[in-house]
Amino acid sequence: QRQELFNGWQVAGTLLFSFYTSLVHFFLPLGVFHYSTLDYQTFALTVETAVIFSVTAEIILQTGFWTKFNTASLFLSLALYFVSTLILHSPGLHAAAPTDYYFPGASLNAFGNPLLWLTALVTAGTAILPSLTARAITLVLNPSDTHRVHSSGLTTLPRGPLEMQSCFQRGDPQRRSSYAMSQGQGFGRLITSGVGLHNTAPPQDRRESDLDAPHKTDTSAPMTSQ
Amino acid sequence: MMASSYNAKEEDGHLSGTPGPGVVGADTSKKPDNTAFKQQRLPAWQPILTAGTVLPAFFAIGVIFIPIGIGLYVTSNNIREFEIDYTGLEASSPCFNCSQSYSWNNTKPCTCSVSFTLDQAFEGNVFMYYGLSNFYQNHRRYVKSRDDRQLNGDTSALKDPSKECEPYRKNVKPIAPCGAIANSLFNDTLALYISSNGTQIEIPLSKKGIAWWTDKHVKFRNPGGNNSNLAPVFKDTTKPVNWAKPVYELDTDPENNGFINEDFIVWMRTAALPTFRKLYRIIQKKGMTPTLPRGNYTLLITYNYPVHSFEGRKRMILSTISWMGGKNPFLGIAYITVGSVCFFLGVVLFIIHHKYGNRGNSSDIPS
Repeated sequence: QRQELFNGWQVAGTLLFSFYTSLVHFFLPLGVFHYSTLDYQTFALTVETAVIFSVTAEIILQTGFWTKFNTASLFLSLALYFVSTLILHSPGLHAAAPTDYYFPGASLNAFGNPLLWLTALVTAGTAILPSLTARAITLVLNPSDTHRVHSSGLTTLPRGPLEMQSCFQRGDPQRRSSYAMSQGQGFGRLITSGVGLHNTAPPQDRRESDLDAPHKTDTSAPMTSQ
Repeated sequence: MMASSYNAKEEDGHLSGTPGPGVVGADTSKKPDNTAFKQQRLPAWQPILTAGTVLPAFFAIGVIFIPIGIGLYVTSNNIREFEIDYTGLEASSPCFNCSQSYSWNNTKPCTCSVSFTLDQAFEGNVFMYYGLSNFYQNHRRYVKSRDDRQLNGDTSALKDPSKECEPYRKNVKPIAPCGAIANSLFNDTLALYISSNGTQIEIPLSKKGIAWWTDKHVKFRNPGGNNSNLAPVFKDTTKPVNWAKPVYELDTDPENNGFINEDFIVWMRTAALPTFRKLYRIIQKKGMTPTLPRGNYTLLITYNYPVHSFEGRKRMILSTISWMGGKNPFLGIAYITVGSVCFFLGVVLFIIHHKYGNRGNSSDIPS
């Protein structure tokens, strides 16, 4: 309901990013191939390889949890790309249907040319630069909580956003000043009910330590704080 | 510091439900299997990204790309290249007469010669290219206008070319090779002479090895097998409209005649962009002496190819070769630019991180 994944800004940003990526993927190889002796099919292969590299890089950036299936599918997709290009450009298929498979030898010649790899690398690097920068900016400005827990250890109180959920709230019966207590009933009831004992434990959810609210669990529930 | 936790991906495999009314037995339940894969309990590596990891990545990319770019730029600058535009549109150009007096029924070819000087010697193999500009070999209709089965030596396609070749398919008899790409074959001839002691010595130009090996031996085959006499094989066909000679008279060498003529193959490999160059000849290196020493040279052109109608230009380029091909400063500049942009972004992010990122670590208690 908070329109996090599909709001107007998100769509506009995605459109702008894809526009930029398309331009990069065309104009960088165009600049390299301009007035060169390389042909149409090598140009096509360069752009294809650059696209595969940048999509793979984006997937690597987006993957949060690396299981063995993730890693395997990544390598498999790269391997399949190269294998299928070589197969589709093989002389055997060309002999079978020359008008359909008219790229014979293109991939062997092109992949042996270092210019293709260098162009694909720089194009992929340029294309993922905005998304990499966006991730880095969010990381720098909003460091994630997991970082804090690991670096400061579990023994100290976690700080930062968790500080907002402090135990001290207005109107809290456990946190009255002594002046306020002296105007009313005093400390007697507080001490005998043992409420103050819970303050020594690590902060828990508020409701669990509130003895005033009646428990609504079954009678077979384990003993609560007592 | 990057802390990676060996995190077990857990999710409560909450039962999709007790069996509905009337269904009895555990074998019909919809519970997924209790394997690690289906219950999403696979061991996984979760990289925990912090500012300390990501910022060095930016600097690393910058530091890797910039030297590569510098290396490429320096390599490209060491390649010798020389170019002459011989279109002949200006009145002062030697080829002006040839460019103006073009007509299709020229029986006597027009020749012109251009003199030039090489200030630096060219070492190693020197490659001679012809370059065209404003010639869209990548136009879709043009690229489709060929018959690959005919070029592969299929005799049935020789007599009956593909429909894609229209309107260059039949000219009373079927055209071999058909199509617009073959019809527009570049037919200027270039010859190079060096002036030494007042005489012009011709420089030997090699026409072997200019096409891809796979093209010459796999993709393009002459019909009728390895017949060295090609005229009877092509007897029921005619030459393309704009050619002076039929395809079986392209060269006297039977290895370079017919469809496997290397100049023809190089032309048929369509270029990517409207400004392109194609390999024409190779000047082999000879021992320790420079292949093209410093001095005065003359280029003798047989001006057959009209480019005036589409405002194109024709050039001859002499170039040495390195591991990255010809002269290409763009790639080096691209690497240097991307590397410096990355480095600059890294610096900016570092500044942001220093000024704003440490806000959460301060010890004042919010009131």
